[in-house]
Amino acid sequence: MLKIYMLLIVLGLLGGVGYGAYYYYKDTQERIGILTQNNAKLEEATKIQEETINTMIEDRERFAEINRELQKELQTAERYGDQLRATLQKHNLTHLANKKPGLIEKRMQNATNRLWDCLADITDPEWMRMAAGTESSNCNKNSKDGSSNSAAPQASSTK
Amino acid sequence: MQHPKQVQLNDVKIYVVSKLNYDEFIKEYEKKNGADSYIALSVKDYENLSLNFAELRRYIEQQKQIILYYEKAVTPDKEKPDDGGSQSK
Repeated sequence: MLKIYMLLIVLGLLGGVGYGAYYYYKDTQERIGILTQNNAKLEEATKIQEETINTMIEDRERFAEINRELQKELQTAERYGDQLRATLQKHNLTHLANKKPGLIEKRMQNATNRLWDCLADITDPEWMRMAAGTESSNCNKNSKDGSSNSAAPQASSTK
Repeated sequence: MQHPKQVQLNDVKIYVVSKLNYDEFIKEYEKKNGADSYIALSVKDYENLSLNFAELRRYIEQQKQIILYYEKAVTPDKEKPDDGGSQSK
């Protein structure tokens, strides 16, 4: 009789240990599953964060680049006025007009017409969409051939 | 956004008149315009007018560049893939 009790107790203990092992295994698997899912989520979140950081870095570089371009273009826009002021300071227009009115008239007329064309070009919506840095031929004509880029007559050697 | 239409400017005829060509100018002017009244500018004022136009041109060009800047800033980078997939570099 005692043996039967002992056997029952041993079986009970073994069953308890077995159930405990099974429960532990099941619980551990569930935890592993949850942790794997969490890990995947964290990896995804990290990836998104890295992509966001990369995008922000790229944007920063892009904005820096277009900012540089803008500053350059704003400086370029000052050129015409500077050239005009220099031309007007360099030459005595009153004197030239007194001595050679016909010549000065022609040059004034040409420069004025070119200015109108230039203003038309720089307000052309199609031209506006062109790449930055391009300049209308009517706006830079004089700076290429060395004469004044202005509505003022070109410098004459006769003073 | 559509840009404003291009400016359409009218031709302006300039006469440069001194003692040397005054009589010739009067004759030509009357023949062309049928009147002998005109608006005259001193050379200095013409210079100022030129400088004023230069300022307006500068302003237009700078405004245009600022508009282009903002257009570029809000336009997505074409080189970048949309879905964040492999980059073609």
